[in-house]
Amino acid sequence: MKEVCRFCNSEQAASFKFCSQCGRRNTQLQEKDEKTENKYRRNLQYLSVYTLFSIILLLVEALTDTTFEILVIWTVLFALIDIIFAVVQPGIWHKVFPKSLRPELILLMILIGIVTAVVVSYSVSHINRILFEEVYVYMPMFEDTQYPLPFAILIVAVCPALFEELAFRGFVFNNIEVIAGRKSAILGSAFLFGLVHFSLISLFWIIPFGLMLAYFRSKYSSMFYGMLIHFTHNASIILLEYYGYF
Amino acid sequence: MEESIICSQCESELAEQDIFCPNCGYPEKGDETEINKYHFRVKLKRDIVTDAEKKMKNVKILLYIIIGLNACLGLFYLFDEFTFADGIGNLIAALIFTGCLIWVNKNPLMGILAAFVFWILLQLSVIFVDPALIFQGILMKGVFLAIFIKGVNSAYDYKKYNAQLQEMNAN
Repeated sequence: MKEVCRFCNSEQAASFKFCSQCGRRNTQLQEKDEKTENKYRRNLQYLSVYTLFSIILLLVEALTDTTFEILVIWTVLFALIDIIFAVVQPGIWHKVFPKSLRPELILLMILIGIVTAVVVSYSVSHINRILFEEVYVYMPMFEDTQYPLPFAILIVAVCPALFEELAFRGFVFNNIEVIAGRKSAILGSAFLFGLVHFSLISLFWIIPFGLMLAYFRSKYSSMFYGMLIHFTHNASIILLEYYGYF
Repeated sequence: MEESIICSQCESELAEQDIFCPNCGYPEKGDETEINKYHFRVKLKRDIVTDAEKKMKNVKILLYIIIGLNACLGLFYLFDEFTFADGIGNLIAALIFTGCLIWVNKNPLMGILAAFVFWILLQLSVIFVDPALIFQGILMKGVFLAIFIKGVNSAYDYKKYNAQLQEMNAN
């Protein structure tokens, strides 16, 4: 099929790059490039705003007291922000649930969550004891509440599994995928996921953990399995601590 | 019998009535002004690419400096029992910046972005010690910030104009 140059109206071969009569670039190619560039700029802006926003809020959070009430406020605030960013870019919602649930995968994810929790609890408490001579624990924050364990599970396991996954394996992953491709999306989202946990020492396990979650997100193009691992992992850590294993 | 004409720039075949090469836009049968215009366009793009390369190289140099500083400081701290944990922190930071540097070589945009975010986080995290420390060495921090931001912009320009030059077959 022949095409026509929009500048000089001369007839051109199909999918031409430059007009053979006036030398101008094919306007269709030009428009396509501009579209890609606009998309790229928009995604980079979203990503930068989200990153800056969450880093500043996390710093403020780290400076406030760690009482139960304040923790609840921060959890709700971060959940709202993650939801707002996810609403602005609606492309991630259909990635929450996979098209078909595979029972063997669900079982595998739960197992991975438990194993990583045991390994991490054990190694982190050892490293912290050696380096800082103290161990970080979650439960004391919930001890004064009416139902310590359910609240701890809700705040430490359910909320992060839902909203961190929505943010990092949803929003951040999608944006980086548009900017730089799938491989970069896996690496980049895991890196940012590691950074927002605010501990240089913990990076040694959070980044590989994030890489794994992002890999599953990419492989099954769904956030559900990541959410499952994240929930099982965090819940197991709480349970291990509650029953005094580490 | 039609004689086929080969473009002198990209070696693709031209039809008899073609003035410009439909593959790379070179005015094969154009006059001097058109040929000059073509070369000017190529030069303009090549200049942008060279400039972007320079700015990306600046980021790499900056990363080498940051890695060196963190590694030296980390090793120095390790020898003192009181600052041992800080030393580990510095060494981990050096390691992460090294990872970013490798990433810059493979994918400039993502590598620079990662290093930039990590660097900002490190700068801001001094508020846990003393908020006033943010303003310490503010001039140097400003320079670092400018290098990073220019690096991010250049990484995209580099990709974009390199692709255009490749299309014009003028690399």
